[in-house]
Amino acid sequence: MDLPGPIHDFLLVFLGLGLVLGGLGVVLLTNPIYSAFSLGLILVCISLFYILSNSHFVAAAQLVIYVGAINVLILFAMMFMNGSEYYKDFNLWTIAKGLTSLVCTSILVSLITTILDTSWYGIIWTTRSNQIIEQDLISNSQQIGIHLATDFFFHLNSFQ
Amino acid sequence: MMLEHILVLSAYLFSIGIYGLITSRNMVRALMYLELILNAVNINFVTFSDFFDSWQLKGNIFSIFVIAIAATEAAIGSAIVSSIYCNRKSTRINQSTLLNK
Repeated sequence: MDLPGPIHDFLLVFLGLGLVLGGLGVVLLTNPIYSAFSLGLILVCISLFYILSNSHFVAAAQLVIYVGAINVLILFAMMFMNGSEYYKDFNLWTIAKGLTSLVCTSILVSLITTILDTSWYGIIWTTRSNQIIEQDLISNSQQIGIHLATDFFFHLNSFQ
Repeated sequence: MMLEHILVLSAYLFSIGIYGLITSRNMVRALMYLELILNAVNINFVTFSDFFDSWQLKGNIFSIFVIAIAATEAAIGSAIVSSIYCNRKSTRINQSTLLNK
C-alpha cells in the first residue's frame, strides 16, 4: 500500500503486536475455544498484513477461506469435544514440554540469526533490472489473474 | 529492515506452531497449530513476492495454492477427528494405540 512511512510503520507494529499476543494466546490458553478464537485473531491480523504488502487478492482469499471457513470448521470440531475432561489433569510443566520449548526456542534463534545475517538488499538490487514499465498500471489482482491464466495454467488444472 | 522484521515475525509464528503441534494432546488443537505453521509460510511467500517480485508475483500465486491445500486438509482432518470421537468418545492423542484392539 502506498501509505506514508510512519503510518505504514505504525500499522506494521500494531499488527505485529496482535500477532505476538495472539500466538501466545493460542498456546497458553487452556480452554480450547478461547485458543480457537485467538487463532481467528491471528488470521485476521495476517489478512490486514497482506493488505499492507500490496497483495489484495491474497488478503481477501485469506479472510474468506481461513477465517470464514477453516476457523469456523475448527470451532465446530472443537464444540463436539466434551470440554470437562481437559481441566482435570492439566500439568503445566513436564519434562517433554520443557525439552520441546528448548528445541523450538533454538529453532527460532537460529532462524533469526540467519535472517539478520543475510544481505537482502544485494538481492533487491539485482532484481531491479526485471522491471516492466506498464505493469504499474495494472492492479495486483489483475496481475495474479493474468499469471494464473497464462504462466500457471497447468498448475491450476491440477485442481480439477 | 522492514523485510527482516516481517521474516522474524513469520519465524516466531512457525516456531510457536511447531511447539504447539508437538505438545498438544487434543487432535483439534493439533489441526489449529498446523494452520498456524502454514500461515507463517504464507507470510514468508507474500513478503518475498512483495519485496523482490512485484512484476510476476510468483510468491502470491503459490500462497494461493497453499491456502487451498490448507483448506482441504483442515476439512479432511476435522472429518477424521469427528469420526474418531464418535467411535471412542475421546480424542487424546496418547490413547491412539487403543485402535489396534
